[in-house]
Parts: sequence; C-alpha cells; structure tokens
Amino acid sequence: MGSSVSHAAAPPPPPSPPAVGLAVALPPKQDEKAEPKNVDWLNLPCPVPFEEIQREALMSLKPELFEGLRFDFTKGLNQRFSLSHSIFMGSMEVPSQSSDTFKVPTAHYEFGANFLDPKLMLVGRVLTDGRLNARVKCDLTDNLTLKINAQLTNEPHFSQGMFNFDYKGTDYRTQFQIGNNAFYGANYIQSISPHLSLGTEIFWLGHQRKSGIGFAARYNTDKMVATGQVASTGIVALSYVQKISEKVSLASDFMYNHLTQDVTSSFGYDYILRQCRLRGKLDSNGVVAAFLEERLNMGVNFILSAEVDHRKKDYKFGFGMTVGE
Amino acid sequence: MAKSSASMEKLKGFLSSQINDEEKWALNAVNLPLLYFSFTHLTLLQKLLRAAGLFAASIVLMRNFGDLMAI
Repeated sequence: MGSSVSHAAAPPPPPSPPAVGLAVALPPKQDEKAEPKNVDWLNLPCPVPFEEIQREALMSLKPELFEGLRFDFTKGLNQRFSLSHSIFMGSMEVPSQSSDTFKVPTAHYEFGANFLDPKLMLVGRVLTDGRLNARVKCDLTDNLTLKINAQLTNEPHFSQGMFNFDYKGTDYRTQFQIGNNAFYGANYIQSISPHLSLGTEIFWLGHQRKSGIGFAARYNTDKMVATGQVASTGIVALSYVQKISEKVSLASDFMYNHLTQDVTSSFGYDYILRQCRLRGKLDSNGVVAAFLEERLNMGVNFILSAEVDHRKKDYKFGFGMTVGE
Repeated sequence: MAKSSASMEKLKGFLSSQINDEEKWALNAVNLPLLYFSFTHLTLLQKLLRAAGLFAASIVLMRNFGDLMAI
C-alpha cells in the first residue's frame, strides 16, 4: 500500500508496431530536412519557354473575362479533326485616350476548324466581321519547332503575321521571330541552377526604327514560382505564385510601365476543383473580378464572369456555356 | 543674409497676396484637399506605393498564412 515509487529504470518504450502492408515494401521515411542532394550541374532541367515565364501567374490572374453572352460548341469529327462554332453578344471595350471607358456593342459568330496531330497543329478561325485567325505549330525535328500566327482583316494595314522558330536544347531554349512591318526578335533562356533560370530578349521594329532589350529571371520550387522581367521599353513586371496545394494556388503580380506612368498590382486566387474552376482577383486600381467555370455534365461547362471597377464605376457581367472539349 | 531676408519678404508678400485675396484663395483652397484625399487623382508616387504595398503584403500573407486557404 502506499505509493512506493519504484526507482527502477523507466519501463522500456513500447516496441514499434510491426510493419504491415506497404510499409514493408517502401523505404523508411526520411527526416523532414533531408540532406541536400548533389546538384548535377551538367544535367540541369530545360527551362520554360521565354514567353511563358509568367504562365502560372497569367493563368491565375488573367482569365478571359468578358461582358455579355458567350456560347462555344466544339464538335470532334474524328480523333484529329474538329470544328467549332462560337457566338458572342455583348460589349467590347475600345481603348481610348481619356480615362473613360468606351464600350461598343458587338455580336459575332466565329467558325473554327482544328487539326491536331502530335507533330502538326493547325487552327483556323473566321469571324462574321471578316477577320481570319490562323495558327500553325509544326515540329520540324525533335528540338526545332515552327510556329506561325496570322490575323487577316478587311481593313488595309491591319493584318499581322509572325513566324517563330523555337529550338530546345538540353538546358536552354532559344527563339527567333520574324513578323510583318519588318519585326525581328530573338530570345534566349538558360537554366542556371535546378531552380533558377535567366533569359534575355531583343527585338527590332524596322518600320518605326525602334529596338528594345529585356531581361527575365524565374525562380521556382515545388511550392512557389517567382519571376521578374525588365525591358528597355520601360516595363518592370514581377510575379509571385504560391502553390498551396494541387487544387489551390495564390498569385500576385506587379507591373510598372514607365511610358504610360501606370503602375498596377493584383492579388488573386485559383481554385481547381473537381466540378469547377474558380478564379478571382483584386487590383490596386480598385478592380475586383471573378471567373467561374462549372462543369455541369460531361463536356458541358457553364461560365460566369464578373468584373467590377469601383474607380471608373464600370460593371461587367457575362455568362456563357461551352459544349464539347 | 540680406539677400535671404529680401527673398523672405518677397515670399511673405506673395503668400499674403494669395491667401488674403478672395479669388486666389478660392482657387487654391479648393484643390488642396482634393490632392490629399482624392481617390481618383493620385500622383505616380502614391500609385507606386499603393501597388508595391499590395504586392509585398500579398507575398507576406501568402507565404505565412497561405495554408489557411487550402481545401
């Protein structure tokens, strides 16, 4: 009786439970802070293309907001060929010199044809207002790709065309561009480390005798992507994306334009769920926007778009439906 | 010293002409609060501070409290 505290050695810790199931096959869990792996500097990963350096931020922060009604129907005729029909009825903003927004009511029907092959992609769209968009992507070799973009209009001097030659190396990518109006451009991006890649671009506009140079950097890990771009045209663009999980990411970007003396920063979220994708953002100019794509059924998506500019008192709401892939 | 006192007199004279004259006061005083408190007419520096502040604060929030928004 009585509490006789035994001074014997503390009871041995309970034995670890026997390994069952997968634990037998898998190696034991390492500590949280594993030792850093040795970096193979001659085998760095290939960086993203230069024009896609901010793709995560653009995907989250720049959804295709619209005002009005949108209906897209895509019909696949066979494995490679499909046709698409699109109707849009609403207002489109016309860029104006003053700060007031200038909207033009627009309605158009767009017919499209797509040919998708592993090595060749052809996409064409023709609109009721006479515009034709064409895109070609052709893998000439395993590392060399040719891309052609063309926009043809009825109005003289408004048509545009661009040829891009992309070469993918082991740890670098380079691109050469030729466009109408004597436009020549080139860019190069190189992996410096497994997480960091640096790039540069240069362009020359023949008709206007203008040239420019720009530099870009991208740092990415599993959890985040940070990019920065500076151009001699007076643009500084920074972005940061935090991947919270597979379904959720948060993004923020900052853009300063020295020529127009304009600076904008935005913060947004991107929720990719099983039945829907919801993106929203808040701007330093007082703009709040949201874009929802809800999957109602197999191949049927319902779209809602909203953009509220509190400063200019401009409210844009749109709804639409997408049928087919 | 003489020059600075002369210029101070000129400055005082100028200020009093702006403040004491009814028309000039109406012209100057109206714009003053607008510049400080306007939401629509911000200087570039104010816009830059606002945007940089939003960018930096959002990064800090994302890194420290981002997990709260996970599903």
